[in-house]
Amino acid sequence: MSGGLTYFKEDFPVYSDLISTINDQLQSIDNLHVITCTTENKNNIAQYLRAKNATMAKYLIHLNMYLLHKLNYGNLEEFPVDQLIEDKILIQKIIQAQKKLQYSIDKLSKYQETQINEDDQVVDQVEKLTLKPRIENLHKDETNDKINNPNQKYVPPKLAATLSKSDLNKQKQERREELRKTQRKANLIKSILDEQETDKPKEMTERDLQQLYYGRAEDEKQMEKRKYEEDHMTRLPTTRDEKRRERIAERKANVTRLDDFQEFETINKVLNKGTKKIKKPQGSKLKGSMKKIVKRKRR
Amino acid sequence: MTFIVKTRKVLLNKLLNRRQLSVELLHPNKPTPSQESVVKELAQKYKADERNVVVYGLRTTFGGNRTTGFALIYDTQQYLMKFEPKFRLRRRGIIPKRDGSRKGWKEVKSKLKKTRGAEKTKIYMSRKTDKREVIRVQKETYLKGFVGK
Repeated sequence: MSGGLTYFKEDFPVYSDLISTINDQLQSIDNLHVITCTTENKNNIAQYLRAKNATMAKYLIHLNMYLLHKLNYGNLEEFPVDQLIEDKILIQKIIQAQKKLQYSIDKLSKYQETQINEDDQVVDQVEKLTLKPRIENLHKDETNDKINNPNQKYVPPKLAATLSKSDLNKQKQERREELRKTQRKANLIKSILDEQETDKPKEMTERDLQQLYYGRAEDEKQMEKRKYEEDHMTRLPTTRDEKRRERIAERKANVTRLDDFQEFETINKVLNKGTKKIKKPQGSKLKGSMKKIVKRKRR
Repeated sequence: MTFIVKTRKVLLNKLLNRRQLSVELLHPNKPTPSQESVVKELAQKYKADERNVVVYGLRTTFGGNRTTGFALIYDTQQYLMKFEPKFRLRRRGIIPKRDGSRKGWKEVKSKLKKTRGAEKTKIYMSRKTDKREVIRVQKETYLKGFVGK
């Protein structure tokens, strides 16, 4: 019996703690039971909670019996401990699944707390109103930290200067603008110097020479084509567009020769004297105000 | 000499045993020079046999007075025969020209579009072309008669 008393004295505080925890759990079960009763049977969350409550209650009852059995010096071998273990494992699995359903469970509990009718419009408003952010949680209480850890050293925050992308782009733009400014100044000075008459020979680039001799400089496309041909030692075929451009340029070059002044125009007039005028195609009649304008010009 | 020859981008191609260069000819108020004259000038300049020099792609710029082209100078005639494409060898007369006509090939092509399978290969092989063995024999005969300097 003395041995029994010592065991009792040792185990009693543990037992009392356990009983208090069991009471707390049962209260939570009661709260959830209210919710499950009020919601519809189709709701999966309610079914889950019912199952959870039943298993928890069962486990607690068995635990209580086990403790009483132990205190009364009952033969523990006879007590079905396997069932306790099974129930505990079940509860652990159920609680793991609860993490995913926590949001909907909180929603249900809040819905019960507000005690409002089940109108759809009002429900939506309530849900939105209830889901407010708590600014208190964002703010950290530094005073509590000091009280809890007085010996902790002050660690300053890690601050480092960083350039954002917008700043980088700004820098690039500024550099480009500076370059443009310097180029404009250089071009101005160059033009002023060119105007001055000096004995210094003029610098002629390839483009200037082409302009001089042929009346036009090479386009970028033509330059690319030329470079490709020279690099690969091949000749690319001439397209219709290029042929057309060459014909047009030839016509222009022939007109701007130094030989013809006004004789060209007179010769053309003489040649075209006896030719018929081109008639307008049918259907191209002038309408309305355009008639008046054309008549005035003809006069 | 009625024109001036300028060479640019001279490259020594050891894999193909030749020198590759781009040629620029200046001939003011004159027509474009012929390929043979250009070959002579280049052979003199680079101290090579005229028969080892190949010029192609001569094209006059807009307005005249200037032409650009490409040139290849081989080390020996054997390398020229080996690496040059057949159409250029035909131009020089090393390989005789093709007998087949343009119209004949077009007829064959129209037939090929309508057939499939083994018949198609038969029609394709029956066309008039120089076969590999024939070309090889022609090259050998040319080289036999070739005397180097």
